[in-house]
Amino acid sequence: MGGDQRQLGRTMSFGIPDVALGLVMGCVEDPWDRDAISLVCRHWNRVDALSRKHVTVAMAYSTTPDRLFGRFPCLESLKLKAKPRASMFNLIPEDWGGSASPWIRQLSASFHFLKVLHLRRMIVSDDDLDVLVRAKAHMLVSLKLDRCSGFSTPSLALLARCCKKLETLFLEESSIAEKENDEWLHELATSNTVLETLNFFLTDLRVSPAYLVLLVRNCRRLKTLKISDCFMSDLVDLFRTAQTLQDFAGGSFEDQDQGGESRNYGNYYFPPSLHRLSLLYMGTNEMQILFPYGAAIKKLDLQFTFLTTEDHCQIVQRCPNLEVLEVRDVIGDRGLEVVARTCKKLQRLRVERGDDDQGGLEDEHGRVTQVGLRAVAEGCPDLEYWAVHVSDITNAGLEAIGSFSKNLNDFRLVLLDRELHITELPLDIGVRALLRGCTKLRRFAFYVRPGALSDVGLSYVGEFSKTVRYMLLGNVGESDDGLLAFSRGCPSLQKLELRSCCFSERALAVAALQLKSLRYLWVQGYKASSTGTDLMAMVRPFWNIEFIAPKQDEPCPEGQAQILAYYSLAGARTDCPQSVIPLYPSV
Amino acid sequence: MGAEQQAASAKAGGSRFAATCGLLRQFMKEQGAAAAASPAVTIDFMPAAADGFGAAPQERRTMELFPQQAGTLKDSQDLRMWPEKAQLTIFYGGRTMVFDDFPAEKAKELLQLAGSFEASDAGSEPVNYHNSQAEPFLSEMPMARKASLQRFLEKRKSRLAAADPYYPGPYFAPKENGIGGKPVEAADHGAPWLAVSSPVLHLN
Repeated sequence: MGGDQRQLGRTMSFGIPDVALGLVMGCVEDPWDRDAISLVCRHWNRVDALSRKHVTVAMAYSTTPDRLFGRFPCLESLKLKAKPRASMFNLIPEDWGGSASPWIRQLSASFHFLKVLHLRRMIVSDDDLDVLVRAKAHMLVSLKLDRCSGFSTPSLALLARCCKKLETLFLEESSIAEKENDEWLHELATSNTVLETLNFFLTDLRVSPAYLVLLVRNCRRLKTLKISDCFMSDLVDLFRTAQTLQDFAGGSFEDQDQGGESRNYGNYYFPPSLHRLSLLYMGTNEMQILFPYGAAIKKLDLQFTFLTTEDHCQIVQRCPNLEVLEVRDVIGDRGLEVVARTCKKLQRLRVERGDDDQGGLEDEHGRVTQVGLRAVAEGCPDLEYWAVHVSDITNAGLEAIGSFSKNLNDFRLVLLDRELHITELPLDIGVRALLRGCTKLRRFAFYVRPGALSDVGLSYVGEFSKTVRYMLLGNVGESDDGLLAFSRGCPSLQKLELRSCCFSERALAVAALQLKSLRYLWVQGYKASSTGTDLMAMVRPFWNIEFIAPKQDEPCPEGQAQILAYYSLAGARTDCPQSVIPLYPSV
Repeated sequence: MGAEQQAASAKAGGSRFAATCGLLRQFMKEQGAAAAASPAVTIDFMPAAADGFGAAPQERRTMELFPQQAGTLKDSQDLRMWPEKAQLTIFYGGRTMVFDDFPAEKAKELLQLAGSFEASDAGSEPVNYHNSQAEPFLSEMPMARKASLQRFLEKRKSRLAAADPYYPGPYFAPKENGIGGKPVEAADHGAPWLAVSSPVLHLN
């Protein structure tokens, strides 16, 4: 019996010829499947390591470049993320860390096959880009500097001049110095003929419209162009030239009240291939430029526009083929009802928080509640991603989502604090119904207000979110008991963000130990103990804990301090600024 | 723990393939144990060494755990083991202060002082959590807004409020370094902290 089993073990491990194994591996792309393969035995681990083409390192301090190269020497594509997500909300000190230098040095020297690099929320210096260009100019196909900072436009010019194979250059929301200098765009337009994606959306870069036209003339494959603000009236030639353009974002419209001079956008032209659009600062007077293209539009981003609720209704009802819609809550329940009636193919919907300041801004009075949510849940069955800021919500509203939105894999709800009274609290049974109904959920955010989710509700979240890997919870629970009950569930939870909750350090530490898949925890706003000692209960090998105090010189405003904890094989961070205090053994 | 975690992560992956690999792995591990019992068979069943988080950390080199940590204030006996001067980190009420080269003697005085505070505070220590939601820190935590939207709304406001018909320059509020404005800060109501911090500052 024992002998038979051993035989089987040998067969399974070594009986498959390497060629066959390699062929099968070539067909496995899902990183979760890859992880599972790599854990079967050492041999499979090696075969996986040598054939893995892409790796995402969700936290740059969780490993070292050496270690990554040691395991995956043949990587062609690497994505690295560093600063916590909270940095996109201006909650992380500017000097927290996240330098790309060690990574760029290593990958320039070792990763001989690397041609795709995506850095997100990192600090990338001009020197880093210089090193990268020297080593990888002949290879680099895609470079994404995604919400990064620390570099300047001359480095972009160098990049444009040297990397002739570059198909994707992505700089969205990065903070780039020497923003008036647009020589880089001229270099790109004259040196590159293969570019497919150029994105510098939501940056402060200033560019000449003439260079943009030159770019689309020379790069005939350009499909995606996302720029900073630049008057639409200067982009007429661009759109006439860019006959293959599919995705455009940026632009800008003159002030509506500008000295009575109003432009005529009646005959504005977009290329026929264009079906994804995000126009900055569009107002009521300009929105009709979209009307003739309504049926062609698959993605529409209206977050950065001056449109009213009625304007949203007007536009959306002309866009029956929308798959992605991004708006502020000015769309209101009324707008969402139009979405539900019109957009039967909608897959992604984002409703961001608009202006809370009612002082004189009469055009911003959208209000999204259970009414709009229910309509969308019933009307848009294909919805996979749904992030929404609501002014009111009920259990029935959440239950409707659980009943109808069967394809949701990412649901994020934020209950705004504008209104004093909410129709119904707590939302325990609604959350339970939602989690029970949406069985494909992988990411879940529920940011409400004190009293909106009781300890019992929080225990439901633990119990019924078996597949959820990422979670953000804000103002939930009533006591440590809730967190502890929660942490007995969530078997798949890898990344947890908590904000403004009443949990003690002790409970946070116990929860972190109890959540068995947890590898990343960020907390801001908790019940701090007088000494901080209780946090030390979290200390364990390979678990880096950082205490982030926004300002070192003055007492940290109550509740502003943050705890960041993550698994790391890299050991202690050596680049902590004063505001970051590592809480792991120092001797 | 390994197999369990693997099963869990397989579930998370939602893939039967991953789940099967998890079972396979478990099987191989059991085989490994059997193989170890009979020295004649040598098969390397070491679980994956790894960058993946699935690897069992216990099997790697051990790191020294918490007991000697620098930072929090402990019993005064510990002071004897301290060097003459060291970095001192104080946690109090969720806040921290770090002092370089803090003399051991002064640290001792500080401990006594802190001890006396602790004794007087001891009575109020047990907390009724059910009342805790009414505590002020919850309302002091302003809801954060995405930097990109923050900038847009500022621009929107200035556009709507603009009396000057001639628009002067870049659309986003000019800012040389960093992406957005400063986060909104809650007012500091930290009276208890001030009570303790002032003697600390004197000592320094």
